Amino acid sequence: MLEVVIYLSLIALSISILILLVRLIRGPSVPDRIMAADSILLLVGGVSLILSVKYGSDFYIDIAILVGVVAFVGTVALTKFIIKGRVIDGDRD
Amino acid sequence: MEIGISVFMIIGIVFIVVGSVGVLRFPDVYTRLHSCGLISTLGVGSLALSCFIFFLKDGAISIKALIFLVFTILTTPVSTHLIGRASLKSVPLWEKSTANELERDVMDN
Repeated sequence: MLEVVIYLSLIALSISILILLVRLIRGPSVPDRIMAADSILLLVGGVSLILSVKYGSDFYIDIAILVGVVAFVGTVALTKFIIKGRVIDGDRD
Repeated sequence: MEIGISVFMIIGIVFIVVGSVGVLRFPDVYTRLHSCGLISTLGVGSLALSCFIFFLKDGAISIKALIFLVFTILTTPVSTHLIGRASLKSVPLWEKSTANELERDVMDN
């Protein structure tokens, strides 16, 4: 039963990543693309979580944690670049 | 045990598929952000919870899945708020939107 659920989950995650890729390519504004890229990276983390259940190995969870951190930091950097024009500034607020 | 893993995985997959269809179909950036948060929090969070249940017999490995769950739930509202904040200046609202409470706050900046 678990094998069937795992394969169905992988297929559904692939379809979701393709749908988000359509939004990433077609998105009319820049925040749409940032949002789609963030969601795609988190779904790649979800794929590696499912693979860790499938193979019974714990190294895939490390990949998921790393991808989640990279997604968050990339989103914060891109949005700060949109808002202020530069990523690191000297303001204290 | 196996039933719990399957149930949480199916819940996460349903939230992920519904959220990604919402990202494709909603008309506005601000309405798309809603379903983007649905994907990140409930979908991937349920997958992490099923992974946590699967590694529960091994002890310390399951803590890593719990760390991923807590990290995702903590950082998703921050990134969603930042994307909404970044799109306020450049992207106009949908023409059928009825309220724009944040307009005077944007004028202050």
